[in-house]
Amino acid sequence: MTFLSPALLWSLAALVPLAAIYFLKVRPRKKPTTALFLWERIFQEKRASSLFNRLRDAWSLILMLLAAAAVCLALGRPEWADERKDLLIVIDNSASMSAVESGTSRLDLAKREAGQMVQGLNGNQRAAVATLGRQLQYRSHLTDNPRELLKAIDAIEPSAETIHLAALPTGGPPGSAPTGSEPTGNKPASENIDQTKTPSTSKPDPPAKDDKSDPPSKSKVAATPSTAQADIRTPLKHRVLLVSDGAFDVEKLPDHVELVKIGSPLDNLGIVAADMAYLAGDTARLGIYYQIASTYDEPQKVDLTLWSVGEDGREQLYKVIPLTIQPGTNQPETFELANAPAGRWLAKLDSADALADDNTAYIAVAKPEAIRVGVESPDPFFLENSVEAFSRGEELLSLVKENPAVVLSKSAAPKADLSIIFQPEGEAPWWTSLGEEVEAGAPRVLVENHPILRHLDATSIPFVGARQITPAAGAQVLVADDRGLPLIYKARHGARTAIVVNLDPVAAEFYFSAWFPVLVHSSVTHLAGRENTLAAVYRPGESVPIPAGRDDVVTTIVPPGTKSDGHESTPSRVETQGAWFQGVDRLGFYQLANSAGSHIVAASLLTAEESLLNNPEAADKHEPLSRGHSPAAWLTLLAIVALAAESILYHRRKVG
Amino acid sequence: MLTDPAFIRRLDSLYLLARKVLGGSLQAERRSLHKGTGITFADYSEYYHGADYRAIDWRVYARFDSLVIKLFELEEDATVYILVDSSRSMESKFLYARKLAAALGYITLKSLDRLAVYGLSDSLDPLLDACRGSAKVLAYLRSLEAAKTSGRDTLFTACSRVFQARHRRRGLVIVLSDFLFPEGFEEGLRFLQFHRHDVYCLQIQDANDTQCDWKGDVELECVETLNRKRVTISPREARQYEQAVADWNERLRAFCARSGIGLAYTTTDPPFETVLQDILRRGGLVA
Repeated sequence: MTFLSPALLWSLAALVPLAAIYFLKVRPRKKPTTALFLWERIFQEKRASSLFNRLRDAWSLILMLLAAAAVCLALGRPEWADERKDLLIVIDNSASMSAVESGTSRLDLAKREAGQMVQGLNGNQRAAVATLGRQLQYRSHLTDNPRELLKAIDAIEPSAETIHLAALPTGGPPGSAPTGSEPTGNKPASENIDQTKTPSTSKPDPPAKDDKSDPPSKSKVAATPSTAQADIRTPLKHRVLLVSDGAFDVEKLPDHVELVKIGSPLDNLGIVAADMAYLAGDTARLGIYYQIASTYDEPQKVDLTLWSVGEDGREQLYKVIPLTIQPGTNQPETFELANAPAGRWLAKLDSADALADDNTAYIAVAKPEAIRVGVESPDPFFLENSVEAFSRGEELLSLVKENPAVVLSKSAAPKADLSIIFQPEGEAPWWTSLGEEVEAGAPRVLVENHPILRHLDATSIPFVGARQITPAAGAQVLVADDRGLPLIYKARHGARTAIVVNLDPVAAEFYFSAWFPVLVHSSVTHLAGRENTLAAVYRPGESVPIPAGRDDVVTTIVPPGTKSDGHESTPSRVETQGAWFQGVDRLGFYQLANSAGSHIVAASLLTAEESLLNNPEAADKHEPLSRGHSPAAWLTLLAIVALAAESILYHRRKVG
Repeated sequence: MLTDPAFIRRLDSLYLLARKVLGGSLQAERRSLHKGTGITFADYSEYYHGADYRAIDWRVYARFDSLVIKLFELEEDATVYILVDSSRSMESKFLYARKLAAALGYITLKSLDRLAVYGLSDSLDPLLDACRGSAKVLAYLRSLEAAKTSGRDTLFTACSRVFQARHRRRGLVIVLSDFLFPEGFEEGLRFLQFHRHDVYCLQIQDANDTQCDWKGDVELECVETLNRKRVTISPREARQYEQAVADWNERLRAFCARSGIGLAYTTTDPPFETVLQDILRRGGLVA
């Protein structure tokens, strides 16, 4: 046994004066009597209780000392070893927890289990409540108030996210911290839980402005202020209990996390992978890819139906595919649809099973629209060829004479809003001064992973014919030589944007370089805002690149009108700025609209771990909770009982 | 206090009442078993040589031709002995007892009977030697007033023996006490009766003797012997004590009734005159 407040045990020293006072207190009153002989006759009959009477004073003293000692010990807050660590009750509210068994969802079962844990603490232990989906989200402070904890538990809603075990607090060596987070030193993780001032909705860091660099990675999801604190790798002084159905890779569950498994094996079919895209070179045929998983023990015959959703929301059945689904994750299948329209599609499994969210896959297919590219050059041959090379096949670029979206030029400054200029010449708003040809030094990439440079090795480009040039104010130099001579830079002038490539492609024989078409393609798609094409489907929690999204561009997002639990709700518009949209948290179709146009983003579950509801490898692994009252409470009760008994004896002393 | 003129007047009132009710005697009938030269005819007896021929009843001779002489009651002085319990247990009742003793002694002296007063405790202490006459009243009252409780116990039987050894003359023995004698009262009273005294018991008790208001842990201390006993008194024990006192008093009453001993019971609440008036109206100190 340990004592949480050992200093208060010094109060036991008060027992000595207490005993002295007691002896002073119990001296009986002296009463004179004229008939002592009569009293003696009366009490002679009570000889049997004389032993009790002789010991009664001793008993009274013992009870009083016992009560005082119990109170002193209770003040020291004894505990049985370290059973009453602070608790972090993490409730899995990922998609699989929406599975229904016996009319109750697994999330409700988990909430009930967590509620029982909290009630069993009896207010004698501190705990905090959090949910785990893609991120760890704290729902309450660290408190010993059961009502606050139960309120937090009741407020937990299901989500369509995939569980992300890496977001759980870890217990590694002191001082180390995950990437991207600010270490808080050797503070115990329990204090870090304390420091969570408000129940937070931790969101990942947004990416750099105007930078269509990699989307916020999964490793950075947990590196937000509230979750970073939970992630501090310090020895944990609290227990982490994960209340979950175990539908995850058990190998990834941290050793210190105790799994409280809820739910029983359920039968479920789910679409775990889906994709649709127009076939290369054939925009009239739509290729469809799907994969189904099953937790049934026996093969199941089920129909997969494909529906096209019109602008008015009406669904039109396009195809019915009878399937025989084997237990486990089946092999993926593909097929093609002819003359299938672009837009919103639904793939549905006709199955009434435990989890409904994975029976429908929302897919958004955008018809590839070639970027209209014009060429302005005294010798346009190579430039046109580079465009036409991308006109064939997937039709990414289209060479046009009129109304081009992007203009490729050489030795000219086109008036188009978007232009790529090789071999700068003359006057243009893109440079303030243009000097003589100079011999460029070794090129250095100044902006790593810029969309224009992502797929090419700029340092290997011979910048022959480069001229001394001063870019316009605010230009972003992407490649420069070792003397700072801009070699490739991006400049803006009002609504116009240009990419300037400071070389003579003929002298540099750049037309024959493999990087030439790559540079053309990357530059055109970047200027057109189409370097990141939207995927046909995203999972909840994933980051979605906003077409033409920039910090100065406002994009309006309309989420799906139906929540993943099937309840209707009024969609609320969201406005965002930047290149990424982080708020995919529901299943359905999102509408994104900005100055570049409007796009549909589809969100579907598509996770085998969430659909395969039964994971026999995930076993219940938690130590019993210290339910019931602490030793201090029992000692207090003992003290009360002892005092009550002593009061009875005292009353008898006073009034017989 | 006992020599106050006001108090003496109260005693005088009682004496007048006694004269009125009992002819001045505390005893309504003061018969003597002895035959002598009194004026009250008692009996006839055969004439014997040397008898007083003036006592011959000639009428009987005339009728029956038999010589008989008249016998007359011998008028003797009554002797009243008052034994006042002066043990420490009578501390709270001693004044009351002394008032009663003062009243009884006053009537006796005023009636020209002989009076002797003793204090009872662990020994017999004379308060007034045997005397007669009104002139002794004041001395008696002073003696009573100066009397104090004493002694380590109440040895009634031993005191009775000592009393008898001092006074062989029969008389009326009035015992004023609470009669809470650890050794009992029967032997002493029987002893007095055996020696042909007329015994009258005047039992005086107060609330301290008859009631128990104590509760809880108490150390009882005998006021006489100073013996102590530590007890816990509950309402049950309190009731038992009160019943024990009542049983003790009932035992005394039954013994007195069986033995032909007069008994009067009083507490210290009523005025002492009331007690004596009641006794006198009932015919005096008779059984």
